[in-house]
Amino acid sequence: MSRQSATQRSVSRALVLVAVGMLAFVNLLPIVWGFATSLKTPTDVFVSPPQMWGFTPTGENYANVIRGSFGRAFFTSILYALGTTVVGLAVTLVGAYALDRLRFPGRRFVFYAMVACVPLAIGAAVLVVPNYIYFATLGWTNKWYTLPLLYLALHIPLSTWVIKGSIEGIPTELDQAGKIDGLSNMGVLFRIILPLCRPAMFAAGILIFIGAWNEFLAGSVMVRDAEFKPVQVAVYQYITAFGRHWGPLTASAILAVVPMLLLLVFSGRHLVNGLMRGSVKG
Amino acid sequence: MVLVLPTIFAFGYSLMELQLARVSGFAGFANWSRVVVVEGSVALILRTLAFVIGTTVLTLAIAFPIALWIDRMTRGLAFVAQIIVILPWVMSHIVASLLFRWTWIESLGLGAWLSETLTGERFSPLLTGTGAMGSIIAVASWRTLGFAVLLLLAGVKSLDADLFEAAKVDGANAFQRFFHLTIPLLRTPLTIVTIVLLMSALNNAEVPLATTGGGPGNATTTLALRIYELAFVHLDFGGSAALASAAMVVNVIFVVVYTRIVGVGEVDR
Repeated sequence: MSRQSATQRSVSRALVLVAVGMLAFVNLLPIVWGFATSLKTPTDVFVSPPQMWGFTPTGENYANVIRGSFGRAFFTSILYALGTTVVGLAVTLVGAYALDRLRFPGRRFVFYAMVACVPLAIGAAVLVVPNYIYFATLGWTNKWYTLPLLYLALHIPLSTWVIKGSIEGIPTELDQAGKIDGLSNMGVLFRIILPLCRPAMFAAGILIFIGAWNEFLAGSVMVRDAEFKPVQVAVYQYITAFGRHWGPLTASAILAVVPMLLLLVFSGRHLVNGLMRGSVKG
Repeated sequence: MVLVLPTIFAFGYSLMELQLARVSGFAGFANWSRVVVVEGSVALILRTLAFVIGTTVLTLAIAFPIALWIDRMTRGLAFVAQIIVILPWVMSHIVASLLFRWTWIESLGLGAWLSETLTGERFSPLLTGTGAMGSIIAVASWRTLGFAVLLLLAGVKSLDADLFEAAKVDGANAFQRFFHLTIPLLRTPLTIVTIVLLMSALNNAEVPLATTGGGPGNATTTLALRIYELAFVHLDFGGSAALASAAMVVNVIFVVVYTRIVGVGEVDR
């Protein structure tokens, strides 16, 4: 780098900025365009050439969408995602600690099962049919706990993996010091381990929240009553219900993406770290 | 329990006679012959392969250069680039498909208008099978790109810079360094990313569902979408379970490879 001249450096810097700009354009444009459309009246939507601005914005689409089934589903999904995140993190923390620090019979098996379940959870589309059949047999479909239960199962392996990775980095001497001071295993976990692996907890929590918020397939079939339907299903139902009425459609899509954008803006660093931690450490 | 049991159950269910979702008797391989033999599964497999391989190759081809490039940025800029690149991934499949379709694919969208102004031709990819397949590959790749970039970036960051400096001193050019150092050293992360991408494309029913609905005809009905439709639209749970357990075999193969790579040497640390 040191041999490059000043002009070369500023050219390459400009190229980098242009490339980042292009990336931002491709990734942001659908959201911006969707947002513009969601503020249009049906006539404005069909104006050609398409207008990004210069039309009179209306909040009508949003009002319609919120009054309809979407508003309720949005609220339901907030509860699902929060509940799944809190319970998931509690289970995961204890599980990851046990897996990393305790020696118990079958630990090897549990460990491999956990690692195997990380990618297995990607196959949710294939799992949804057998899951549906046996949930139906047990009478577990269409209940308030149906979807949170599934979301927990889908996300616990990955978050265990992320948190275990962080616990590994905490020296065992700290545990021993705690034990000498009279702490139990649980005491060590909550007094020593928990404060030290807070970033990993945060990262895992975000991954669980995003996963629960964005899940669609199970949500679309496992529950029937409107009060249990999650937000993605509400968006999808607008696709079939409104057909080409892009105003309310984009309004619902934008509303469904707002919580995720907020997460990204306020804790993007944790999300990025979580993904990088959870992935390629093998 | 929700992950492992169904893997085993799917095959069992596929042998049963199912009235809606209730087991009502033993069917042997009747479900299998109905969906696998009668339905022209060769076309289904070819469509699925086109989607899975197309998405994986496209995603990797774009994600790898971006990861290498973010690695060379200054910290602040790299962070901004990471946030931008992961943006489509935080959207759900449904929302991402919807917004992408409205912006780039739909005949009233920006993409259609752009191509009409530039080339004078109407742009309506969803009317032809190839165009529709291209569209779902584009949507799926767009959404998973950022995820792949971050996984690869984690691998790239672990590379030893001194090694590259040494190679440079020895006169290796950029291409040689890339093919003889970067690629071999990144073999493990690359394999893992490839497995994850293949699996997520194979199991992606949402993107075809929300982008094309499987059409035109059934040109974009991939295996995952077919499994979903058979059970929950046509209420053929037995047939769906048969296809699901076939797909599950492929998933399990990927999972075993993944577990061997990731798990080995970790357990008795």
